[in-house]
Amino acid sequence: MERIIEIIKEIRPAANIDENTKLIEEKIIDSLAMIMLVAELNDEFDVEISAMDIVPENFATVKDIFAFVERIQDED
Amino acid sequence: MVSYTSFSFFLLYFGITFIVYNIMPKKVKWFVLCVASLFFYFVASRAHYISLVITIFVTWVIGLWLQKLNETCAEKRKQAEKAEKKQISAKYNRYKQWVLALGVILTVGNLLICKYSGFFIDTTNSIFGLSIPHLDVVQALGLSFFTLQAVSYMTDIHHKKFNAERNVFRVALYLSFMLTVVEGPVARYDQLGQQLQESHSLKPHNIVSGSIRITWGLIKKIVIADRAAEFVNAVFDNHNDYSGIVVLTAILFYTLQLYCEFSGVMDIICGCGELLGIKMPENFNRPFFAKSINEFWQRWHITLGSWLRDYIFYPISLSKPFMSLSKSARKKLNPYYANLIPTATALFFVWFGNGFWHGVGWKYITYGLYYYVLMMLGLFIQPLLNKICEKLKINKESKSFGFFQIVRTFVVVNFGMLIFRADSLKVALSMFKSLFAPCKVVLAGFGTEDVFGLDLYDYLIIAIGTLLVFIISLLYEKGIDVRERIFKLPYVVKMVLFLIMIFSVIIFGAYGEGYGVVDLIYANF
Repeated sequence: MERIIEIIKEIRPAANIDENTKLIEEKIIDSLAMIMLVAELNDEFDVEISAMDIVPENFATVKDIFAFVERIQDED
Repeated sequence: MVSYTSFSFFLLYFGITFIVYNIMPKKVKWFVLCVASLFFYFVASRAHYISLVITIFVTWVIGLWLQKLNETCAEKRKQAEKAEKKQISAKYNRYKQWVLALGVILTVGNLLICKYSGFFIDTTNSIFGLSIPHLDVVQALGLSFFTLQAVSYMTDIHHKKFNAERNVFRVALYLSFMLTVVEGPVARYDQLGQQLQESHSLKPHNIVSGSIRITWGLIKKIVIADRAAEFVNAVFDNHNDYSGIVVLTAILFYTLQLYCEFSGVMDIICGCGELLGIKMPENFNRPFFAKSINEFWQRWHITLGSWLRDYIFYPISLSKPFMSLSKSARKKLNPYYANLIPTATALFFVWFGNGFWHGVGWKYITYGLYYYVLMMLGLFIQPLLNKICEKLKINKESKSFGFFQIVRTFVVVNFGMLIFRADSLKVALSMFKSLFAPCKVVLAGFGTEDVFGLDLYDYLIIAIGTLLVFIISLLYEKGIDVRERIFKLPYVVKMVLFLIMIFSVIIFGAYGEGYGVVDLIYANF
């Protein structure tokens, strides 16, 4: 989870976030930042996130992102 | 054309549908909506219904085909060893992509032929000096709206978001629903389609709340937008006669007209939906409080923006070629700019698509690309701007900086509106230049007689109406739900307020002698 927080801070240096921060609701992650985040997640966790995976449930908080990444790692 | 603000819509189409919907048994309520919507479409489109029928049929068949492939794939994966599962998924995904591509080609092809064939033929003729005649096709009402809905339905089944609908009439209802088919919103099946199938009962809260929203929409459309249209048409139709502040006012009035008309009609549609117990997708979220272009388009025509984001922007940016391009760029460039490469390319298609969707011709393509260029410029200089703000110790979170951002976005949007409304790019450019010329018209007699089709009374109504829209938007922006507040008021106060709203539409509405019927701008798409 720490690594996900680091990635988001690289994309949004001014954002002050923890694992429960509402990333979409608080407009920390918009559609442009989302592409950067997905590219980094694909690289870091060796997964393939598709366009249809980008739904608020999967990216609402760092916790949700972590759970989602774990889920697709298991599916693969 | 049947307008959402006409008596015939409220009394004949929606009115009768509302009554029949509420007296029919639960099981057939959806079918009432389906028959009413198809009948409404038949009349409103003046019997040009072939495009809709083709789209319904293609969407239904492709949806079932994709569903069958999803089920077969799941069955085969169940029986296979772990190592084989990935191969099975890959094989079926390829197969599904071909089926989806067929569906998209057929539905979008229908849109391209009916709406854009004339533009393509004219462009080819002018480049190669040919004289290919135009095809004998008619652009069906709401074609651009139901085509986008069809594409999202098929794509979502491909991605197993929901199961395909087996009954063709249920697909027909989703694509032809009378409240969305003319002006949108561009609804998704899992957002609206499934609600349409369910049975909704009459609720007093929905009736009061929906009626208030419908009346507010009518005020925005008939009292403000239709009045502003008189000024806008007078200046844009004779743009050579005006310059300076008159042209500037016409641009501002057009922005006001388009916003009040489009968001007003959305209020009417959402209010009608509420009466039926259906929650329609929202299309506006106070766009003029946006602090950037990106945010503006997340607040203006939301359903089109999110459609372009989900079905064009994300798939292109996250496609394998673009992801590997970004990966290799990250080795050589700063990660910010490396990640910007797929984003910039995908955004080009989004804004080209946005412009092209809005209308036929280079003017609309330029309109889309105008926003693309501005957005790209903003993204490329963002790191530099951040550094400048840091050095100058500008607090980006401060209220004054926020206000500056809102004004900057408003100015940029208004120039976009000039391109959108002007008859051609040449006219837009000439009107832009004329903004800096001295004012040609002396407003002699202002207030005593018609100036640009309006008298002092009209200008006063526009000013008060705009102020009201601004105050209500501001309250919502501050988190105050005005309709809920009205709802909590004592019964008598509530009724008086509602009557004032209704009489405002009747007394101050721009109809009768001297006013033409103003067609819905977005109904042409």
